[in-house]
Amino acid sequence: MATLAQARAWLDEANLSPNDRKAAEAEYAEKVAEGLTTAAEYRARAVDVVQAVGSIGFDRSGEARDEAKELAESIRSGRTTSADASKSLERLTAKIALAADARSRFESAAESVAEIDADPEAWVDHLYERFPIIQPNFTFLT
Amino acid sequence: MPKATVERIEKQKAALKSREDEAYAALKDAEDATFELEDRIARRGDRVSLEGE
Repeated sequence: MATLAQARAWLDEANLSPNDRKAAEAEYAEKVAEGLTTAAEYRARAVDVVQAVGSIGFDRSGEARDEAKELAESIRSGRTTSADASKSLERLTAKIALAADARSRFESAAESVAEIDADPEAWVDHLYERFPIIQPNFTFLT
Repeated sequence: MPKATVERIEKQKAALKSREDEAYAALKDAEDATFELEDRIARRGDRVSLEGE
């Protein structure tokens, strides 16, 4: 098992017969293609997360904004007691914090999409480094 | 790689930040309203205790 970069480095240094070289390069190309498929699948899921979380976060922020405006108006017009105002403020603060957390997750997923777009092969190799168990098995390295 | 997707994500990012800023601004205003109310109550309380003397 190895990363794509490790396999490439080995192939570049190896002294192979033409037949062995052809077979090894074909296997390497196959593993790169599999890696790029993984990157594309992950990207598609990340885009789904981005859109879903982004949409929910946008709505929740809007709700919190509108509720806070109503609360301020209600307080100033004397319709809300100090105790109720404090409770409502606490609830709204928590709601906005949740929306901010959603935005943070959105940005994280959006960053993954950007990284994959920039260099999908490097992205998948980084994944292989972080999770060696999923590294491809190159027969020419055994 | 679809450029449209990337552009959509960037627009969504900007919209989220803007909406969040609006929410925080409204929260700040509600907090100010609460402090004004508490201040009025406190001053009313001071007046009442002064009148009681």
